Amino acid sequence: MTKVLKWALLASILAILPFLTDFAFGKTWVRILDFALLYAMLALGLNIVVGFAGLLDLGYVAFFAVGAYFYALLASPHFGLHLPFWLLLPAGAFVAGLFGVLLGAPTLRLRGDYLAIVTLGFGEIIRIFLNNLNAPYNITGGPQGINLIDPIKLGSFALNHPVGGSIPSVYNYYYLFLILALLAAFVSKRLQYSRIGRAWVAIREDEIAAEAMGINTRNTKLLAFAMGASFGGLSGGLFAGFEGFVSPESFTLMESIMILCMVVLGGMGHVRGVILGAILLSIVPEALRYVGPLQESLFGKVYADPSSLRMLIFGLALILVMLLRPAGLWPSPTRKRELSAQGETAKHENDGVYDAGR
Amino acid sequence: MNLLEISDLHVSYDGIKAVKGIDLSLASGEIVALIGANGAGKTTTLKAICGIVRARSGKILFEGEDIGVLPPHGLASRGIALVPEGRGLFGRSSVEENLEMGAYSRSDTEIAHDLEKIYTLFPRLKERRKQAAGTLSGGEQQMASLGRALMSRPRLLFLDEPSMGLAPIMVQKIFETIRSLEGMTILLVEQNAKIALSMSQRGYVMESGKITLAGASGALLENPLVRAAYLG
Repeated sequence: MTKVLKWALLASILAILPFLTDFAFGKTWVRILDFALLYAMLALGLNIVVGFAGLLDLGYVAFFAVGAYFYALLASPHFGLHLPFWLLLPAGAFVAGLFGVLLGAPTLRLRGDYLAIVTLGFGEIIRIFLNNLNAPYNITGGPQGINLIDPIKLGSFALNHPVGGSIPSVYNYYYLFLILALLAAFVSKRLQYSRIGRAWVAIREDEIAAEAMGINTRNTKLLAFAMGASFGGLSGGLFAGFEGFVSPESFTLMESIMILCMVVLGGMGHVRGVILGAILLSIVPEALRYVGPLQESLFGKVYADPSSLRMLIFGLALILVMLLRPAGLWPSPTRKRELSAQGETAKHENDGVYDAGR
Repeated sequence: MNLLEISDLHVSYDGIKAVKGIDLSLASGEIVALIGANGAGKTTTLKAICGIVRARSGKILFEGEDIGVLPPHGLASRGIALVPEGRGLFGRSSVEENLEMGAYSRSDTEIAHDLEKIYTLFPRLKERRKQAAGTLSGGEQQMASLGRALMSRPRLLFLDEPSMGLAPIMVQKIFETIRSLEGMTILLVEQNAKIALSMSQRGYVMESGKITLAGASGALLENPLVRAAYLG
């Protein structure tokens, strides 16, 4: 019963959150919430690759870019195409999934640092392609990107219009993103405890042993890349419709690293932890913008430039978290078990030797 | 017909010949030891049988089927299990999750029953069932790896260096368990020649990629060449 109550409470908080946020901090912050949800979807996707299957991917933002450009090209005046979003979103996820396989196939034998370097290169290749595919034929709009992208429409109702003239558009996107983020979390959870999820864990821990168990490691890894990428593609489509504008600048290596930070800081492989990481890392840097006004109100003048101080504090916070909570802010029970049992290993080792005869 | 029949197996790594034409066979129910010094090609032979490395030439027949062409994941469902060198446990997963992974290729309803059987065989694993496998002692890890292999109900079991890194008393315990698996066909790859030969019915001695001696384990234990080279 208390569990039902807890969920009901959480649901109602999520339902009224944009109103509360708007009331307390203004519409800018509702927009930041929208982005936090978008990042939660991205982080959940990367978590499949990095957290579940243990494949370090530093170019994840490429799939976000693929999804965003797919939507932008087919729903904007750029080519004069205006396909509906309910078609474009799943198709974008699918296309991004194909790109995931495209990245996965040649890197199947790579692990750890080597895989990280290749994926990093892949991410940059996609971005540079987007940046340069404006000549001789203008496909991606080059560095200028694509403008005037169609907003997401539910039936005849466009999400960028206020509801009844009173509820602003950022609210609409909040609810749409919330539903899809919850869906992504649900799918992640189901995947984690499925047969495929167990196979991913086995591959992450020991690939040869996994094969000996009868796991087709090649297909299982490709599936991890494809699934993770499709989450990225979906988020990309949402991003394009939400912003109305895409350009290669949004898809830099820094973005990939940021999403990876969300996964690692939140708790690799733990769905709730990853969501927490995504929300914190998208909100904290924004909140730190207030360091300037805060100084002004405290000391009457700005001593340190907030824009440079912001990233310094952010970096320090990251280091502190990793020092104090190496498994992430909200690690999965398994991960915690591993780290806490570490100190007892020596003791067990001795037990094993001395009472083995019993 | 032999359960496993290997003929004229050649394996090379980047042009270096690691296995130079060996013949090896296992009859059903037999425990056979493959011994030899470090670098003799024992593990490479095993890897070739399991499809982890590709043989350059030769035939590997399991119940008459050529398994040399199969991918490594095709073996489990045919009843072949491997206890890899260094145990190969899923370190962050619990002991029980490891054992359950052993039954990954199975779809019958007796998996839970077999799990209990493994716990009867190794009561220590039952005590540690919720603990991460990576935090077990070496001996317990070997038990877990063996238990995991048995969870697939294998008809042929490969053990790669089960005594490696274990205290002598633990080695004894593990081998007692292996001996108690009646009717199981086992290929035991070991550097510890003394214990491997005392455990098995037949043995092969491997030296720089070739089998130099083969015969009944008792006879090999008495063989002056084996005594001088492997038993000190």
